[in-house]
Amino acid sequence: MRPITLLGPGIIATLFWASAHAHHSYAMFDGSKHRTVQGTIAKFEWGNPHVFVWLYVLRQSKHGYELYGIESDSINELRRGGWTKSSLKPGEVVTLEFFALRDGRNGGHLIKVRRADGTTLAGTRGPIMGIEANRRAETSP
Amino acid sequence: MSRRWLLLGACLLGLTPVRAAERGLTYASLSALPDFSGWWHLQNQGGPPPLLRMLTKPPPLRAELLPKFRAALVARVARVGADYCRPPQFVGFQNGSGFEDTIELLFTPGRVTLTTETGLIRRIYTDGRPLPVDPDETNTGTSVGHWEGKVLIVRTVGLLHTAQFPERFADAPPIGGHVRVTERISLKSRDMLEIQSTMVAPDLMAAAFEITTRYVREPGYVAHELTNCPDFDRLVDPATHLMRYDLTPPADLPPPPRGR
Repeated sequence: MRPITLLGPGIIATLFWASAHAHHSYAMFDGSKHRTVQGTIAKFEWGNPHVFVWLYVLRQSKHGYELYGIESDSINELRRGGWTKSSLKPGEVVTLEFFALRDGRNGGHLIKVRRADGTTLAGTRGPIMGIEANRRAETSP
Repeated sequence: MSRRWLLLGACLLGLTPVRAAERGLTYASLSALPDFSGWWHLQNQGGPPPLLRMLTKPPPLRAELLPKFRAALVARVARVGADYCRPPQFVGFQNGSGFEDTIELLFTPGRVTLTTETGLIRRIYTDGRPLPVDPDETNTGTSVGHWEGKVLIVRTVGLLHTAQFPERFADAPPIGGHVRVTERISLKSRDMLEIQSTMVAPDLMAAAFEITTRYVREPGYVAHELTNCPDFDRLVDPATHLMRYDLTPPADLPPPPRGR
């Protein structure tokens, strides 16, 4: 008997390794909207269930700074990618790439961090693929 | 008469080697068991993880439950909602409700303990005790095991009948009562572990559900505590369990840089 397929192959293809630990939806992030900001690390929250990066970004048109809060993955997932609790230090100048929040606030899901010396730290693939799966699910019939 | 006495009788009659009867029952005998030590991570087989393979090959669910199951999987794809502060749970195979991507197996006399990075603890008694006839229902169920050569056979009953299948998402159907799970755990090679699971769930399935997962040993890896039950969660409202993105700055945030 031919097996029943519950979803189209387009969605299935995007789901590889999307099962990494995630206790929430990625629907709040716009998977098609990459943003890049440069700023100074305000705080690196190394905790459960997801790591958070706080960044001061110099305002372009006004004086002062805007604060960004960017979520990342679980500690276990990041450790596999070489992260530690001291990977980012307050005062460090970095460039952050992230999937932007759909509501336009200064937040999003981390894609990668580029340090001043050119080295990078990447987020894990699972949530990124989850975002992609969300996008495909929204556009599939 | 207990199984241990039966085994002893069989040994005296020359039917079973004494060593086989004692395997894993003493600290000394543990060293003769297969090396399951260390943490094991779900193998990337170039395809979807076991849970997502159900998209192309659904389990043999009862026909009337298929729509609910289908809806749950669609919700899983879109990751609708949030899973805040729920205990890890075993529902017969590796999934996202507690039997997660990374596991370890610990040997002590008369017991194998399977733990996961999300804190699931399955105590598998290998001391010859039988499965309880009328077990209490728990998140892990009640498990007994025995060795057949180099294969650990684990039988589990007493899973929560309300536990959702394939995992705790949206409106996934419950596994129902009288669920029995049999797992065959063995090394496929020195650093590859395989779990062949057979799940019989009469309220949920029209036939036995079989699934195989493989794990790769991660030398030197120690899983960090992983919980979705923190004191404060920026992405899930603990009161409503609904999604949010809380950008309230931490109280101890330093001031912005000066001189710019």
